[in-house]
Amino acid sequence: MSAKKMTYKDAIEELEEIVNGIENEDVDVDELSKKVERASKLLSICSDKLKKTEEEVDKVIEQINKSE
Amino acid sequence: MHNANHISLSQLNGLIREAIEINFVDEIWLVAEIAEMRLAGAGHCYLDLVEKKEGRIVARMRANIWKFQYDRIVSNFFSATGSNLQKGMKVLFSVSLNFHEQYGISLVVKNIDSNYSIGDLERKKKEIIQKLIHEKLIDKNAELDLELVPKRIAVISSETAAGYGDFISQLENNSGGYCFETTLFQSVMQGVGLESSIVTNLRKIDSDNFDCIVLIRGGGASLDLAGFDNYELGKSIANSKLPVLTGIGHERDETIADMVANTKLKTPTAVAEFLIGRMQEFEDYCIGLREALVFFTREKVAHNKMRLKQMSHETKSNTQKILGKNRVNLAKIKASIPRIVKSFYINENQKSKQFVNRLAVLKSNKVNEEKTRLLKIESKIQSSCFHRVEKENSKIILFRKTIKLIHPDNVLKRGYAMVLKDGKVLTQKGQLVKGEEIEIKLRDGIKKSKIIE
Repeated sequence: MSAKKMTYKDAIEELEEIVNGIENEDVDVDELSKKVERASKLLSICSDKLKKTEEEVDKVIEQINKSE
Repeated sequence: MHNANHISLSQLNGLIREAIEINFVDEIWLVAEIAEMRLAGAGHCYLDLVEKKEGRIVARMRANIWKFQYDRIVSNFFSATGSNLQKGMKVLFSVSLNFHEQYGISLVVKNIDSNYSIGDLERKKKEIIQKLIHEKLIDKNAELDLELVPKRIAVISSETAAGYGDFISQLENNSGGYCFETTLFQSVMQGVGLESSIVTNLRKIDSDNFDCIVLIRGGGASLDLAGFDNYELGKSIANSKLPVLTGIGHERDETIADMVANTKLKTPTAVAEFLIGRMQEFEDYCIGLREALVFFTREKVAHNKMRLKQMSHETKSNTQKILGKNRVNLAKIKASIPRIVKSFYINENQKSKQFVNRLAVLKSNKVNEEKTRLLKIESKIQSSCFHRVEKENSKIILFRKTIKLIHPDNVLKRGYAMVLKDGKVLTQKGQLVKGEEIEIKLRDGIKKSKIIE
């Protein structure tokens, strides 16, 4: 799944899966760095989306207030 | 023995006559009932007078009216009473007592006081009326309804009577052109036998074939009415199943027959007129009905037309009223729209403002929440990675220690030796074959050896 098309919800779910996997030692050490790298990417996707969403919402609210 | 002292019959009668003539010089007023009455050939009238008590004769005497007196007395009596002097009447006579040696005692009528007879007739008539009232007969015939169109008429009269002819011609020549069917029941209409003849005829008439009975007789002052003041006749008329109309032809008091009749009229002509009038009345009634029908129908139509007009007016005005009312309401609503809209707008605006505020709050809450979540995840990854690395690290250290401990060099150091053959470690005695060369590894190096035994 490419990073661009991924939704926030999907990203969070995958993140939680990874965290759980690490915690329960389901992840081999060999994969660990790969998983962490993936997690770091997902985290940045999520925070980007969050930031973007916040900005958009703020913009809309500002527009609503302006249009009154 | 013969009594020489005697008189002859004529002498006796002469004595009686003398005695009577001495005692009854003046005329006597005498009340008596006529029991018999006959006119002799010579024109003298002979009467048999009686006195009755409870129906029984208690006294009787002959009387006569001489011819020269008779006509005067009788005609005076009739003009005063309306009745002929006849059998059964109670009369006040002026008489003289007369005794004739040959014919005996008798009364000679000089005059009659008709006033007494009038009273007596009236009394008798009253008695009959009372009886008829008592027997509920007086109004019985009057209570019958005469046909609306009395067409079939039973006439009780005498064919020779002038009144009958008048009656028939009147009926036949009526101006309305009405047709009557008359049947004559020939009857004695005056004098002796009048009552029984009429009663017989009344019985003869079949009520199914006629509408009414007409009892008529020609007029004239010289006629005797007494026959119509008769109980049997009155009763017979009263009991007739058909209405009886009388036209007995007199101007004076009504007779019993008139009283019990359904309709009393004076003359036969009057009866004919009455019947024609009845026909006319019915025709007029029919015409009236027709006219009324037309009139009421027209009126009804006109009334309904008017009502319709009125209703259409009402409808129009009511519609206008309603329309006007609605217009006013509409205007009110129209006028209130801006205010309502404005308040609605304000309200909604407030709501949306609140909503936007809430949205901003919710947004920042959510964003913060998510941020926290991400931070948590991040730190979790960090810590779990660190733990994992630590754990692996300690595992490795342990392994390293163990490995160091069990390293062959260290074992050899402690005095152990390893037997090798072609570089491979031998662990079982079967591998050691006699005469073969082996290597024994010690702490400081390898020493080649040979198995001797």
